[in-house]
Parts: sequence; structure tokens; C-alpha cells
Amino acid sequence: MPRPDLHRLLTPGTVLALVSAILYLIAWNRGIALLYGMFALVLATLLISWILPRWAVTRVEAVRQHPARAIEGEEVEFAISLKNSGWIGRYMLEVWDHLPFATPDSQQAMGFIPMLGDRHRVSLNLPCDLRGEYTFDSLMLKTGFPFGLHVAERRLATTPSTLLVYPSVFKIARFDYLGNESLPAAGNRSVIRAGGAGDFMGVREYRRGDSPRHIHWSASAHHGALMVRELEWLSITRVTLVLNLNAAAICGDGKESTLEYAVKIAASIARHALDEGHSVALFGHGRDRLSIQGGRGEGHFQTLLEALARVRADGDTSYAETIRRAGEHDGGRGVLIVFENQPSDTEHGGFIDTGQHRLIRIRFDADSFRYPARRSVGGGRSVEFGDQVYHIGRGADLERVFAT
Amino acid sequence: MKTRLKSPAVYYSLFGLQLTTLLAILSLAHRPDVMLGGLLGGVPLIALGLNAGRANADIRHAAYQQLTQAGVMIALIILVAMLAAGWLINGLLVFLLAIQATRNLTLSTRRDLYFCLIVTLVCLLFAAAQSRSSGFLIYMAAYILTGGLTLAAVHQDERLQFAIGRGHFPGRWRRWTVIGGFSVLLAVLSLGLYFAVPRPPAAHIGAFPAGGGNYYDDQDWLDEATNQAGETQAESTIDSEPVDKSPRENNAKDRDSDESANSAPGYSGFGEQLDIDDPGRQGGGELFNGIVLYMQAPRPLYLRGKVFDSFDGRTWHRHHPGTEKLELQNGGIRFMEDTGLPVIQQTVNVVHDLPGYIYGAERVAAVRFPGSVIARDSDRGLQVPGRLQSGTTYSVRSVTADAAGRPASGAEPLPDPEDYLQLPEDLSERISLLAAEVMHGATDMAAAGRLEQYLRNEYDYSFSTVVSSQGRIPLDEFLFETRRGHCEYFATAMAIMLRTQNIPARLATGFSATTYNPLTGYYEIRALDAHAWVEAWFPEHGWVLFEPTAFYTLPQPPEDTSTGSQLSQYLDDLSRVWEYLPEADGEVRWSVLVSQAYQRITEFMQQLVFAIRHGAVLLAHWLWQFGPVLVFATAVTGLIWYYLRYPWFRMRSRQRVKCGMRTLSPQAFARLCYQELEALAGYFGCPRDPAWTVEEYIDRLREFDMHLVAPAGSIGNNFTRIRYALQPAAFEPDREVLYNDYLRASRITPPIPALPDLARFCCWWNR
Repeated sequence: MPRPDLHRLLTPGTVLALVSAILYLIAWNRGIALLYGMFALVLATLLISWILPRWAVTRVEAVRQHPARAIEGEEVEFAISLKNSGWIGRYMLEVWDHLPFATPDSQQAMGFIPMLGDRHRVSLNLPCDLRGEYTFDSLMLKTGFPFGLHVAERRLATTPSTLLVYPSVFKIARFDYLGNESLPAAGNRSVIRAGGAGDFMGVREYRRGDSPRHIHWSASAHHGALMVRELEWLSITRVTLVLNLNAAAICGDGKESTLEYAVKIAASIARHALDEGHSVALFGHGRDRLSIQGGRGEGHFQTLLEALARVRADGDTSYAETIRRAGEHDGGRGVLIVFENQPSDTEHGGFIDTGQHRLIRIRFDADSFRYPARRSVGGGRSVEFGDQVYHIGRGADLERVFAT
Repeated sequence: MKTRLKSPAVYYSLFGLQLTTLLAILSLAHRPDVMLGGLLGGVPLIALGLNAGRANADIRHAAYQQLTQAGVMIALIILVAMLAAGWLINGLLVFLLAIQATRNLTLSTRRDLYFCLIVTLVCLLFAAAQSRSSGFLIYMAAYILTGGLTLAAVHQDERLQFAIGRGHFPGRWRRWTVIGGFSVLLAVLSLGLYFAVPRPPAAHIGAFPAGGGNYYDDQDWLDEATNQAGETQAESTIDSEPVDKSPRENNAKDRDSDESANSAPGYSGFGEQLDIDDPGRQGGGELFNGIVLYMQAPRPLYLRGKVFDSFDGRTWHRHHPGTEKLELQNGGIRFMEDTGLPVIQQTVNVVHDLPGYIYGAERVAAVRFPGSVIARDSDRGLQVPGRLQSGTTYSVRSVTADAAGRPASGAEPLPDPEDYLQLPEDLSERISLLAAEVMHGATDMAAAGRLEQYLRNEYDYSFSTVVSSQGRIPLDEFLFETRRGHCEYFATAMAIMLRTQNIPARLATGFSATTYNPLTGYYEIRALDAHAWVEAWFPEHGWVLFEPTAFYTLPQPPEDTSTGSQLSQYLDDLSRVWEYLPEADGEVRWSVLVSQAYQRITEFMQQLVFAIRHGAVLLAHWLWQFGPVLVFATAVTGLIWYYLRYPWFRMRSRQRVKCGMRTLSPQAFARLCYQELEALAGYFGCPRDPAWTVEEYIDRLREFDMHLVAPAGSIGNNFTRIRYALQPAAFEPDREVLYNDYLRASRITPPIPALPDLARFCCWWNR
């Protein structure tokens, strides 16, 4: 048998109703008219607190205004205009709006209007906590006028509207798409494209296999041994961000999930890569296929941001398969940036066949996302099998991690 | 629940709430010095406490916490001390007040506030149960108002703390208007409920109270009662509820004298003898008509105090002055078992010191009294040791039979009928003859009723003594010469005339408890309600009550028990006293003013109702005659209005714009043109949604009517430049151009599909 919820039963209204009943019984037993008076006063209070709220929510219309786009972390103003069609003012009105982009404890936002004459406008200013696309279609009007003993509510239909919240972008100080290797060491794996340029970095001893064209003769004479020039080769390449949109692979909840971290990192890398002149593509397999072809410029970044704002982990395609298709789609060249969990819970088991692609791994400490109480590794960078690996734990300072 | 209070309004309303409660409790004292002292001490205490509580709501102060704990300890010590002194209820009340006074220092959460509401409500309930004054309703109304304001303030305070956005607060005047309107609504609804709520007869479950701070004890009486124990007729004790024995005992030995002990304020009808010519109502001083008793009972009653059975032509006295002493067990005594007859319980509160009788309706079946012993005479009159002190509360249960609508004691034998047939030696023969003539020689109850009606109809009541008794027989003069007198004359005349016809009769004195105050639920018994009436014995009914005095009515259960009717009756009763007592005290005068005001209002309401009814009849008659014409005229008018409303609205709008062109600045005129265009378009079916910008609205207008493409755009652009420009004064539109644009734009046509062509024609014609 379910136990009654005492907190719901023991409201001031029910207590007052109980008091009025007791008053009536005492008055009846003792025949004291003044106690009947007390009963009448308490009953009148109860009746007013029950009737007035129901009346106060009638004949009120609402219009919601808000910007169509915002960036995660940015404060958004939701302006709600109320119009009173009744002939008497309304008091102590509460306008409740469900704002899912806000932090969990402030998603039910309330604007309080002490008095609504003819028209009134109230603003709800909230920071966007989570990227996504949100649709708003109705508001809740509540009031406990005048005593708060009973709250009446009414749902107000409003014109449907949408808010697109872009993921926030952090500053990446340095990101080595080519592994920061000198051209001689990199050999012919580097893809040279028009517009590239080499900057002199220094000299080192000649090694077997170095091209004689790079021998620095004056330095060789000075050292008495063959020395070669080292050049940092700046190339323009194609960067493909491969998101894991397999629902089963996502660790953590809400903002503190691997998907949100991946989206944020992807947006930031895209920003950085585009600023560096690279071409950036986006690929993923959710319920629908996400495929943004490579491109450059602000317009392309906007396209990427919109796609990243809307992206959802609602697919069941394995990440290995997604990476494979991304590689095919890319045509076998360029850099693939993949997001993986450690310990690996995916099918690829740490080995990814990327063909001719360079691979940069963003590796999440999955346990730190699954178990928020567990201590996180923070963040860092390493090289495994020639691939750069960025280690990201829950709560890691991403800007610091990508500055190494 | 733990939300901290922030709004000062919460503390202001709490101050009003606690002040109201304090005043309500102090009003029970009925003493100005106590009220003044309480206010001087209480108001600063409450104010300082709440001020500290408000400061504590912002920042917690350890000093306030320590003060609160010390205050609680002091309150506990006071409680223990008062419990030890036997003051249970008062001790609890003081404890609650002291606790609240100390908790004010740390009152900072909603939980504290609800505790305060509960404490004040309990205190007010206690005061309401104790008070017998109609004026207490003012405290109740003030409490509910301040309580309501407190709840409203705390509700607003809490919601504002949760709110992310907040609107503008109304101005001070608007706020007070709302509070005023709200108070009126609350008062009207409360008053309506107060009068409308059904009030079943009181159940009195466990309520047979006695006490009030006095205890009546007399060792001589007690010894006598012990000796008579074997002979007493008391059958058993009653309810085991203990009687409040206060330290203040009232011993019979402390009585000043028999005379003072048996004199009611302004009435000598409770002494050893009653002089009908001088019942002592004007007792040598200012006429006193204050309330002496409050009675709680389901119906009006005559509360009998003393019975006289022997008359010597001028004074009444008793044949057998002796009394039987009865010891009370646990403060109660029962005289008879359940007889199946209706039982009426009376709870009497003594307000003014009175002769030592237990005033109750005949026939008393049980008594609960704060004493150890009482006395009973042969006519079942009950006496107490000493005078009946103010503050005393006692209860009586009476068994009352019905004898043709009259209260009666029920069939019972009469041991000594001769005692009640005694006549004065010098009784005039004329009196016997008059009695025989009125009663037609019969000796039944109907004949007694005829005699009662004869006295009520043929003789006038006069409160003052009008008979000069020097060397004359008062009764003879009353019956045959002056034909005017007070109630002792009427009662004596009837009793003696019944005796001349061989019907046992006696004169009873007591109080007429017939003035019911529906606001308090108590019968108010004033000093001038001291009264004398007749009890006549008939074998089948026992002692039957007769009321020969025309001024009084036989106590009967009211036919209409609605509160409104009772209130009207109450004011009538007060007014009736006023008519007979031009020199009565100020309280009665005030009551009569209220009564007269009530009568005026009632008369006005009746006239209003009559006028409405009469007007309705006239209107119906007129409609019957001119109805078809009226319907036709209304239809034509409606049709004209239906077709001409758009052109008329357009014409008015054009007039305003034309006027504005002459008087307004170019900027203001541009705003006016846009506002008029918006109003016109809205009236014609294209209102502006608050969410639309001006540009969006102009686009909608273009979709609405293609004629508006150019002029509306121009008006909208001008308005936008002036309304939203950084320096609107720098832009100065051409008024002529604007006016022409407006004239073109105002040719808007309402696209109403149902409108017949005539309407379109009117609109077109008016463009």
C-alpha cells in the first residue's frame, strides 16, 4: 500500500482547512458565536485563496520573444509580454517557461509580475548552458494570489519559436596537424599543396637518406662534418572531424558527457584549423548521416557550428565503421581527428585502419565521465604508434590541454 | 520552508498581527489600566523583537540566539510557576506569548512565521472563547486582515526569491487600493458566511463548566449538610470534571450583612421580603443598567432566583424561610433522574456581584457550581454561601415541560396547597369580583390564561413607580385607579386574583434572559432585566409560568433562527428598553443609535426592493405595450450602427489627425499618424501583435490591403526614424506629406466576408 506523501498533504491550505473544521466543531459543541465568527473568517480566507487564483489566470494572453541563435555560455533574454483582456488587474502572476538550454536547476524559469494592468513585459535572462536546438510552444501561467494557499495554473499557447545554441569554442594555442616533424624526417608522407612554405628551423648532422640538396655547406665547413638544413614544412591539409554518434558509446550526462566534450573540441579545432587555412570536414553517423564536406572560411565555420549545435548521439553505427566511412569519404588523404573512450568500449579496440590518413586521437577518460565522483586524470598529450593522442578527463581544462 | 524572509512588508504585517492579538487578549481584562500597561509593555517588546528578527534574517547574530534561549528558559519558569499556582490556562497563554516574544528575535524563516501564526491563532481562539463582547469581532476582523496581509507578503517574498525576472511593482496608492478592495471583499465574504453558516444546537459534549476564579465555601453550611445527609433528596453526584478551586474563597461569614447580600444592583426582589411598591429599581442613585449576567442556552428563559408565597397586601415574603443544605460532590449535584422531558443546559457567567442565588430555569435537575455546599428552599430555590461574585461561572440543567406553550415544571403533587392560596386580610372584594368576571368562575389553565391576557391588554407598563402608597393599598389602586405599574404589580395582581379563584399561585423573582446577542452567542442579562412573574399550579402540569406584564413576552423558542433575524430582534430588544428608559446609561444609548440606524437601513432596503419590484412591473407593462416598436427601433439602430461603425471610426480618426496637424510638432504628428493608422487598422481587422516590429506590421498591412502599400510604408518609416533614432529631434518630417499619406492610408477597407455589399458601399463611399 503506497504511503501518503505528507509533504503534499501538509500544505498551509490543508492545515487551514483543518483548523476551520476544528473551529466549527468547537463552536458547535460550545455554542460560542464568536468561534463561528472565527470559522467564517478562516473559511472566507480559504474561499478567497481558492477562487481568486482561478480568476486571476483567465483572460491573459502571452507572447514570447527571444533571439533565434546564441552561443553556449552566452546570456539570452527571453522577453514575455502579457496582455490582460479582463477589466480588473491581475496580481502576483508567475510566468513559468521551460528553458532546457539552462542549467538543470534553472530550467524552470519564473518571472514574477506583481501587477498586470493592461500589458506587461517581463524578461528572463539566462545563460545558455547546453548547445542544441530548442523549440518553445507554450508557457505556464500560475498565481497564488493573494495568500499563496492555493495555486491556480493555466497553460498559455504561444507562437512556436526555435532557439539554436551553438557550442562554445575555446582557444587552441597550438595544434599539430602534421605531427610537428621536419620534412626530412617526415619523408614523403607529407602532402604538399600549393601555397605551402618552408621556414628555416636549424641544422643537424646528416643522416643516411637525407637529400644532398639540403646540405648546408657553410655549416658543414664550420663543423667539419656534413650538416643539413631543417625546415618546418607548413602545409595546407584537409582535416576531418569524426564524431562518435553511437548512443551506446556516450559516457556521462548532459553537459558533462563525452559527446558534449567532443562537440566542443571539434568546434574549437575547426575554428583553429580554418584560421590556419586548412579545409575542415565533419563526419558522423547518428540516426541520420552527418556529413559536411571540407571547406574554408567563415561561412563554412557557420555551417559546421550549426551542424555541431544540432548533432545528437542517437545512432547505432559502430565508431570503427564510422571512421572507415569517413576515410573513404575523404579519399584516403588528410588528417582524421577521432574521439575515443579509454578504456575502450568500442568495437575497434584501439586499432583503427585509417589507410593513408594521419590520425589524431582525442581520448576520453570514460570512467571519469561514468563515475563523476572518481578522480579524473585531467588532461595531457602523448604519442602512440606515431599518432598524437590527447587525453581528456571530465573537468579537464581543455584550453590548457590543447596548449601543450 | 527554510527560505529566509527578506521583505520588510512581512515584518510590518507580523507586527500588526501580534499587536492585534495582544489587544484582543488585553480586551478580556475590561480595565483601561491593564490595557494601557499591556500596550506600553507589549508594543515596544514586539517592535524591538521583530526588528532584531529582521536584522537576523540578513546576518545571523549569536547574541540574538542566546537571548532567545534565555527567553525560552524564562518562559518555562513562568509556566511552571503559574501551573503551581493553579492557573493552567492562563499559564499556557502567558507561556505562548513569552515564547513568541523571544522567538521574534530570531524570526527569519517561513517556519518561524508559521509558528507565529499558530501561536497568535491559539491566543485569539482563547480570547474568542472567553470574550462575550460584540466588539471582539473587530479584533477578529483585524486579525484576519493582518494575517491575510502576512500570508500575502510572505508569498510574494518567497516567489520573488525564486523569480529570475520580475515586473514593475504598483505604486503606493495603487497598492493601498488593492489592499483596501481586498479587505472589503474579505470582510463582506466573512460577514456573509458568518450570517449564513448553519448553527446547530450546541452539543455541550464534556462542557458543563463551573469555575471562574471564585470558590464558595461555608463550614456551618457544610456541617449542616453533613447532618442532613441522610435526609437529603439529592440522588447522586454528577460529572467528575474537577472544579477550579482558586485561592480566593468566598465564605458566608465574610458577608457584610444579609441586606447587602440579597440586594441586586437596583433591585430588592431577592431579599427576605419584597415590597411591591418599592422594588428598589431606582435604588437611591444613578440608574444602573449594565450587564450582570451572560447566559449560554439554546432558547430564551426566565432564570428564577427566589420564590415568594405569602402576601400581606404590600409585601411578599416566605412562609418557610428555612433551607436544606446540600454538599456538592466534585462541584456538582443532581436533583432528579432523567424523566424523558426536554433538558435545557444553561451556562451562566456572572459579570456583576449579585445576591447569592443560583439563577436557573425551573425545574433545576442538576447544578455544577464552584463551591462545596449550596442550600435549597422548599420551592427549589437554590442559594450559595455569600454573594455571587463577578467572574463566577456555573452551569444548570433544567427539565422543562410544555403546558400549552408555557414553560412548566411537569406534573407533580403539591404537599401544602394552602400555602399558595393565602390572601391578605384586607383584600378588596373588588379584586375577587374582577377575577371571577375575567375568569368566568373557571379554575383551569385556560381561565388563568384569560386573566393573564386581561392584565396584559388592559393595563399599561410603567417602569417608574407611579403609585403613591401613603395610607392606601397599592394593589387596589393599581387595578382600579391608575391601571399602570411595573412588573411586581402585574405579577402580584395575577397571583392574588388566581388565589381568589382557588388556584395555587406564587410570585417568582429572577432575571428575564431573552435578549440574545447573535454576534456573541450569549443572552445578555442586564440589571433592569430583574423581573417578577407568576407561577400557578395545575395538577396535570405542575407549576406553570405566566407573564401578565405586557412589557415582557413569555420566553419562547424563536421561530426564525437565522442570524439576521436574531440580530434584528436583538436591536429591537435594546430599542424597546430605550423607549422605556429615557435616562438609561450610555451603553444603551449607543445600542439604540445602532438599532435606529439598522432600522433606517432596513426601511431603505425595503423601499428599494419595493421600488425595484414596482419598477419591474412598470417596465414589463411598458414593454408589453411598446415592445414591438422598441424591438424594431433597436434593430434599425443596430443595423445602422453595424453599417456605419467603420465610416464613423474613420471619420473620428481623421478628425484627430487633422487637429493634430495644427497643434503638434512634426515629430509628435508623425507618431500620431502611425498610432491612428494602427488603431484604425486594428479596428478594421488587422491588429498589431505585440511581437511584431513596426516593419513587420507594415508588411502585414500591405498584405491586408494593397492600397496601403505606399502610404503605410511612408508613415511607418517616419515613425521608426523618430521613435528609434538616437536624435529624433534632428529629423523633421513634412506634416503635409504625412497628412496626405494618412488620408490615403485611412481608406482601408474592412475585409469582412459576411458584410453585405451595402457595407462595402458605405466604406467605399466614405473613402
